[in-house]
Amino acid sequence: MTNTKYQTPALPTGGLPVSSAKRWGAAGRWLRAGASVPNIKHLHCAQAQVFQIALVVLAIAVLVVPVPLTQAAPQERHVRIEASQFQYTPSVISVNPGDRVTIDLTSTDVVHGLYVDDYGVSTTAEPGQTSRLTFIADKPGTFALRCADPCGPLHPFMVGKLNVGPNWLLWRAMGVSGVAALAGFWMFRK
Amino acid sequence: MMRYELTQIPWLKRLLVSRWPLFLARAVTLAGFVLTIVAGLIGSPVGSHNFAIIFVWIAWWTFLKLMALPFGGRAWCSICPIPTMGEWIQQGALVEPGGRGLGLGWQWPRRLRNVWLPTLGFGVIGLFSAVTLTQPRVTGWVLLGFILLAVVLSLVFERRAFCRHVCPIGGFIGLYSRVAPVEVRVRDRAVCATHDDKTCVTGNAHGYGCPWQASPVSLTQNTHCGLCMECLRSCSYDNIAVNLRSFGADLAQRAGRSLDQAYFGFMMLGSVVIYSAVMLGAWGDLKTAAYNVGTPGWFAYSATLLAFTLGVLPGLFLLAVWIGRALAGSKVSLKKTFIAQSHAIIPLGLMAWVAFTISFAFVKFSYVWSVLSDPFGWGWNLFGTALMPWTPYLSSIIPVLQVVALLGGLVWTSIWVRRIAQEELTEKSATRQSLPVMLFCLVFTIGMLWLLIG
Repeated sequence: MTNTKYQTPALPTGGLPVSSAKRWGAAGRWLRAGASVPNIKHLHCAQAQVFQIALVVLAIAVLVVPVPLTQAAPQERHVRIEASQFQYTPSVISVNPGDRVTIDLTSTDVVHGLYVDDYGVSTTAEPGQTSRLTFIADKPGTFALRCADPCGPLHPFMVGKLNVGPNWLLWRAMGVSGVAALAGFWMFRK
Repeated sequence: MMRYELTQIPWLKRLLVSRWPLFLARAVTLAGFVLTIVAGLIGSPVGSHNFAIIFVWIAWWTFLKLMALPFGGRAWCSICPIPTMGEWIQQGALVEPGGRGLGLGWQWPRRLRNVWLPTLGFGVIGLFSAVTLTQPRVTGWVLLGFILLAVVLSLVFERRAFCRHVCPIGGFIGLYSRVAPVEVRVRDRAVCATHDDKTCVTGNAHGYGCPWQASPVSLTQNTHCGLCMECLRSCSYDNIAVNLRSFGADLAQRAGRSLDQAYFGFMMLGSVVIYSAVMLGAWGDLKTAAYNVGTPGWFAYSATLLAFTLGVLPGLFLLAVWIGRALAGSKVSLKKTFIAQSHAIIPLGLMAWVAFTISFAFVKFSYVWSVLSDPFGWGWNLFGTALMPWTPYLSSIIPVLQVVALLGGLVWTSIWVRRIAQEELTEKSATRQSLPVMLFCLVFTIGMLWLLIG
């Protein structure tokens, strides 16, 4: 007995209206010519499952596969940060994983603090004074620098950023977002 | 669509029908609200030492965004203290119905029966957000203003006109309550069809007519249901059910899709981008511009916020819809397609707000312990926690949680973009209609990722 449900139908042939195809030039002609978007309903059941599994595998791969990059040798980093209401200058500092980082924090107006998220280290600078903070940047990623001493109304929002190596979480999340959109788009149709 | 009727559970139904739990909850939130206003007006001007700032913008906001709204929809509205006093005066009773209330009972103007006022209100809040969120006195005055406005409107207009047509937070909650897994619906519409009295609308000795001016029989989405349970009490035929359902069930409902709701969605989507840039970004000049009201920088910030939320974002979305419509060769009008597709991005907006809230909720939550002991910042130490140092919680997993929230929102929205397109189009055309909209959602998500974890 033939299982008609799972018979492979003819390949989709596009179907973009001629008027729209003309209006959209090359892209329209491409769609009109039959370069339709992948469509699970037109695939064999097994192919659809492969497509779904491939999406999941791709998402996991983007998330966890290590990127082979040569890592620079750890070095001493000396950074001078000026704190004023309500910003750090420079607001973003970038170091390599393993670097020994020394931050000289200078305040130009009121008392300001500097707390490094996840590293849990902090320092406080009196107006006109410089305080020093040293730590080993042994955790890769991007971390917020936060003022740890109430310095005025916008104190809760006084933040900077410390980049320790590339921000892989951001890049991987961006990569997965494309896969996630595809997954939602094709896998959960009505 | 799977549903489980919670009111089948006897003890839960008794709890929901009883007026006392809701009355007690409203009394507690009202007391907290009064304390918040007093703390804001007479307490320390330092935000992190003042109950008003910490409880409203850290504790309550976090509770609303991460718990109450995604899981309970308008559950907060049922215990919100802002309309409580006005409603008590209007009804002339605190608990049981039967009092002789005050008020003119006018109908809300027909032209304003939409969410344009809440949209405008949320925009205005956004213009002054950097001040309101950091200055206890401003927070105190704003909350006092809200409660007075709610009382005045309760005395002039019928029922909860303020909540349904004015409150920006109510508009916000109403929009996103569509995706919540709780609903109040009638069990059997046929029963309602033969019930001439419609006690759920007019009220009786057991319950008031719907304070939100909704008719339960025609309720197809949560937007205007305040979960106050009055219809559960007043229904003569025991025909009202409180259901547990799948997340996002209302998005399939075509009724209630309108341009004002669509624009409110863009106001929310744009606001979360601007707030993330101002409050979580490392750009001090932007923060200063948003804070210094009346300066050229503030006017530039205000113009940017309004242009982005009401012009650029809806404009780009309209462009995406227009391209999709042309690719699909759709005969459905551009306006109808725009409105329908804009409702698909409700999950994206909600999850963007969740991700935004995560970024400061855990980091700032430790302030709650100190202001509990010293709500006015006067040096008290009621519970011995006043001197607890600021400690950011869970800072190592915050970015991961944000990624999960944003990507979850993208997947969720992409499902609905496609499904809504399929309401009017063949599958192939729906795909073409949806692709540019999906690109819009993808770019938005990547932008939020960059702002929050970049």
